[in-house]
Amino acid sequence: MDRATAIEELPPLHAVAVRLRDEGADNHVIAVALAIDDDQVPTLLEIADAKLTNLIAGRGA
Amino acid sequence: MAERDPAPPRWAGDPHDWPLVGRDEELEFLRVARCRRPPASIVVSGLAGVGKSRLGSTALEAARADGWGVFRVCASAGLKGVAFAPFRTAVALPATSDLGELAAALDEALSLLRGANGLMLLVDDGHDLDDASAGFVHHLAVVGSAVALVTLRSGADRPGALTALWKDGLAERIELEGLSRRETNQLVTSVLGATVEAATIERIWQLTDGNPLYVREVLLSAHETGALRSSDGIWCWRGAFTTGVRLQEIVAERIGRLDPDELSAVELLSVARSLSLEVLASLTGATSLERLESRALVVVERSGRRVEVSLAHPLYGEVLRAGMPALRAQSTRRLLTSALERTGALRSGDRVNLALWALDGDIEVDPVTLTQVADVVLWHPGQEISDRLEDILAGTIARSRPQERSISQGDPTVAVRLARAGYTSTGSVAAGAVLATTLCWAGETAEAAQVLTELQAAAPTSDDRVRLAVALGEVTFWGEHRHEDAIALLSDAVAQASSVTDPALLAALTEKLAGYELNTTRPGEALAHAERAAALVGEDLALSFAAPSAAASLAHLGRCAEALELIDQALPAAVERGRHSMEVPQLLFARTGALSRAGRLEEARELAENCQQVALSVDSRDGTALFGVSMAEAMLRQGRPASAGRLFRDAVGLFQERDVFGYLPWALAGLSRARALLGDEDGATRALDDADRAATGTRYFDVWRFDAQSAIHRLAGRESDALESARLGADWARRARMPVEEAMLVHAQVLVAPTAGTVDRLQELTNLTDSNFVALLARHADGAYRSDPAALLASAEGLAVCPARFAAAEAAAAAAEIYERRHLAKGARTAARIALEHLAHCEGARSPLLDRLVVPAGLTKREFEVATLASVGHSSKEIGARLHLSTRTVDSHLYRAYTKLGVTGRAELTAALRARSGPGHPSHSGDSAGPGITGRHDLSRNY
Repeated sequence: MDRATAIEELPPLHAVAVRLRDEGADNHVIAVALAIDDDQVPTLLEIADAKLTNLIAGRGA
Repeated sequence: MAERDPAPPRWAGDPHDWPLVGRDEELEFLRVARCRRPPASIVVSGLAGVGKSRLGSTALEAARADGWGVFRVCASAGLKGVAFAPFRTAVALPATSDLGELAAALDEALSLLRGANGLMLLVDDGHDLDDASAGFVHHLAVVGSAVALVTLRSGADRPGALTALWKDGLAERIELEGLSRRETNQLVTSVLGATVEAATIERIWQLTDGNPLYVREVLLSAHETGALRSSDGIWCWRGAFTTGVRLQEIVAERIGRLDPDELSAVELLSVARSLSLEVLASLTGATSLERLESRALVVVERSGRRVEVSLAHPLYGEVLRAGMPALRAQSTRRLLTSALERTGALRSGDRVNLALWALDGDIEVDPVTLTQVADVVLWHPGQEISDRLEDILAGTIARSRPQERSISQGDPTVAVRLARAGYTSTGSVAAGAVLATTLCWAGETAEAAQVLTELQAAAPTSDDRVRLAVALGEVTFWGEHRHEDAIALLSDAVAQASSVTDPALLAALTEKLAGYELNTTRPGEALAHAERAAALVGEDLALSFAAPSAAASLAHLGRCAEALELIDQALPAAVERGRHSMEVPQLLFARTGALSRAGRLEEARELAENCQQVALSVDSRDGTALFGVSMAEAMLRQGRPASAGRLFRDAVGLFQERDVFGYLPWALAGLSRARALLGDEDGATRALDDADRAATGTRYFDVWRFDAQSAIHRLAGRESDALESARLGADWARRARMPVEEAMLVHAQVLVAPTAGTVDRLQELTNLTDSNFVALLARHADGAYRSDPAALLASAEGLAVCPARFAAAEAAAAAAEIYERRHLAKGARTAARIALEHLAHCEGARSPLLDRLVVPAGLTKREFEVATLASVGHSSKEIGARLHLSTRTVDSHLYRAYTKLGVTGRAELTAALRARSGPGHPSHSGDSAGPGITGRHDLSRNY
C-alpha cells in the first residue's frame, strides 16, 4: 500500500493530523484544527506514523 | 436466498470477548512509555464506548506478562465524595479520616504489589475519581513508585490533580478515537465470522463512527430486527435502522442531564440534522451551545462562510428522534420552520427538511416546491458526485468523520412521498412526470405506468405530450424492461413532435433514445441520436447534456481516445449546468468504461473506486453497485478474480434488492467469470445460470455471459465447447459493433487453439479501435500462432503494463511451453519464471496452461490441490469440506501424492512441493491466504 492510500485508511483524526503536518502546519495549528490540546499532538502524530508504517507494510487491519 | 441466522449471535456474550482491533500502535506506545527510564504515566482520553477500558486492561495484562506488578481500580460517580473510594474495595485501609494516614497505608499496600520491573496502576474512569484518590495518583507519578494509566472520558469534568499529570509533564496523553472504516470492517467481519458487504460496513461505520460499543449495539439491534442477515455466506443489511432499547439507554446515559436550553438545542439538531450557528443560537442561546460543545455533545464546523452545528455522534440524533414524543416533535419542527424561513437563505438540506415536514402536516408548502424537492432528493447522489468531482479525479476523497446525513437524500422512497404529494395537489403534467420517474426508481413500475396513462388522456399541449413520452419511455425501458417498445414509443413521439414549442424537450426525447439504443447494443445509432439531440439545442456535443450518451457510445465502438477527450470537455460543462441530474456520474461511468477498453486498467479501477467511495458515503446503493461492477470489470482484466468476485458479489446483493438499471445479469456474469478464473466450476456455473434467469432482453453486457460460458468449458477441459462459446460471443459482439469485447472473445479462442482466422480477425480489430489492449491481444495471438516465444514474451511485457497480469502470465507460460518443446531449457526457465511472477499477483487465478506450469509433473490436478492444502496446514476433514470430498477420498489423494513426490508424510510435503513448484505456490510463502494458486482456498470464505 502506498503512503497516500495508507493515510486515507487512518482513523479520521490521525489522517487530518498527518495531512496538516505534511503541509507544514505546526502542532498548535493541528491542535486547533482537531480541537485538542497542543500537548496531545506529538503523541497523536507518533501513533499515526506507527499506524502508517504498519498499513504500508501490510500489517494490522 | 437470504435467510436470518437462526443461531443466537455469538457476540451476544461478554463484549470483552470481542477482538481488540486497531489498537496495536496505542498498545506499543503504552509499552514503550512504561519501559522508559524514568517510566512515563499515560492518560487515555476518549468518548464513552471507544475502548479506553479495554485498551487499559490489555496494556495492564501485557505489563503483568512482562514482570510488572499490576493493580486496577475503577472510579464511580456515586462515590466521588468518599476519599479513596475505588481503592477501598481491594485494600484494607485504616479507620481514620486523616487523608495523610490513608495515603500512607495505601502506599504501603501497593508497594507490596510491585513486580520485578515495577508497579502499573490502571485507573479506569478517572473523571469520576474523588479528589483524594486523584491526588494520590498524582503523588505516585511524582515519586515514581508506580506508572499510572488513567482513562478519562472526553468532555467530562475531572479532578485537577489528574489534569496536573500532563500539565506537570508527568504523563503523556492519548486521544483515543473511533475505529477507521478498515478497522471497523475487521472488527465486524471477525465478530460475524464471514465476509460483510461493503455497503453494510459503510453503513455501520457511518452510524457508529467506529465506536466499538456502538458497533456492538447497532449489530445487535439490526440482528434482532432481522435487518442484518446472511445471504450465501455474505452478511448484508437491508432496511431501515431501528434503535434498540439498550442502545437508547447507552446513548441517553452518554448525553446525561441537560438543562432546558441544552435539551432544546439537541432536539432541534436531532430533527434538523445540522443547523447554522446563527439559527441555532437564535433559538437556544449561545451559552447552552458552549456548554454542549465542552461536553463533546455537539461539534461546530466551518463550511465556507457558514458555521454549522451538528450533534457530535450520528447515533445521538437517531436515539433522540426515536424517543421524542409526537407533539414535541411537531412543535420542534414548527420552531425550526419559522427560524429557517426567517433566514431566507435555505440550503438544499433545509428545503428538503421543510418539504418533508410539510408532509407530516406541520406546515404549508407550495406543492410545486414538493415536486422540485422530490427531484433534489432523487438526484442527490449525482449531485454529490458532481460536487466532489475534483477529489474523485485527483483521488483525494477525504474520509471525513461520519456525521448524520441530511434526511434520506438519494432515497427514492422519500422522493416518491414528496412527488406524490406534489402531484396530488397540482395534478400537473410536470408533477406527474416527476412522480412517474421517482416511482420507476423506487421499483413501483405499475403505479408509474398508471400515473402516466391518466395524464396522457388529458395532456393539453404538444409539449406536455412530449414530457409524458419521456417519462413513459423511462418506465417502459428501465421499469418494465420492454426495450424495443420504449424505443418505438420514443421514436413515434419524435416523429410527431413537429409542433413542440420547446426544442429542449425534443432534445431530451432524442437523448433518451440515445441511451436506449446504447443499452440495446446499437452504439452507432446511439451516437447519431446524441449528436442530433445536441444540435437541436444548438450546443457543441461535448458541452451538451447529450455528452454522456455520446461518450459511452464512442467507448462501446472502441473509439476510446475520442470518448475520453469528449468526457474531459464535457465534465466541466456538466458541473456548471448544476441541475440535479446524473450527468456527471454518467460521464464518469463512461470514463471508466473507456479507460478499461483502452487497456488503462489501473486508471479505470481507481476512478471507479473513487466514485464508489462517494456513492457509499451518501448510501447510494445504485451508485455503489454500479461503480462496484465497473471496478470489478477492470480488476478482472487485471487478473484479480478474488477481489473482482467480491465486488461482483456485493453488487449482486444490492441489485437483488433494487435493480433500476437491470444490471443484475451483468454482475452475475462477472461473478461467474471470476469464479471460473479461480477454478470454481460449480460456483461459476451457478452464477451463470442465475445470470441467464435474470436476463431481461438484449443488453450490451450480455457478451459477458458468452465469456463466462467459454471460461467454464475451458476450466472443465471441454476445449471444443470453450471454442464454440467464445466464437458465438465474438460473433455477437461483432454484430453489436463492440470491437474491444469482440477482441477479448476472439482472444479467448486463441488461448485454446490459435488459428489464422483468429489472428487475422484480431489484426483487423486493431485497425477498428484505438485500444492498446486490443493491439496487445493481437500480438499475443500472432506470437501463439507462429509459435514465436520472443513475440509472446514481448506481448507479456506489454500486457503487464496495463496491468493485465493474468494475460501476461498466460503469454509467458505459452512461451515457456514452446521453449520446452524445443529443448531450450534456459529459455523455458526464464519464461516460466516470468509467468509465475505475474501469476503471483493474480489472487489464485488459474488456467489449464498455467496449471501445467505450476503442477509438478505426475500429480493430477486434484492430487495437487489436496497436497497444496495439506502443505499449508489444513486437516483432511477441512480439505474435504472445502473440496466437497469425503475424508477418506482426501487421504487417498494425499497418499498418492506422497508416493509421487517421494515423501512419507505431511511434514515433508511442504519442502517437496516447494522444490517442484514455482514461486506462486504457497509453500514458498507459508501463507495460506497468499497470492497465486492458493486463492482457491478462500473461495468458500469469500463468496
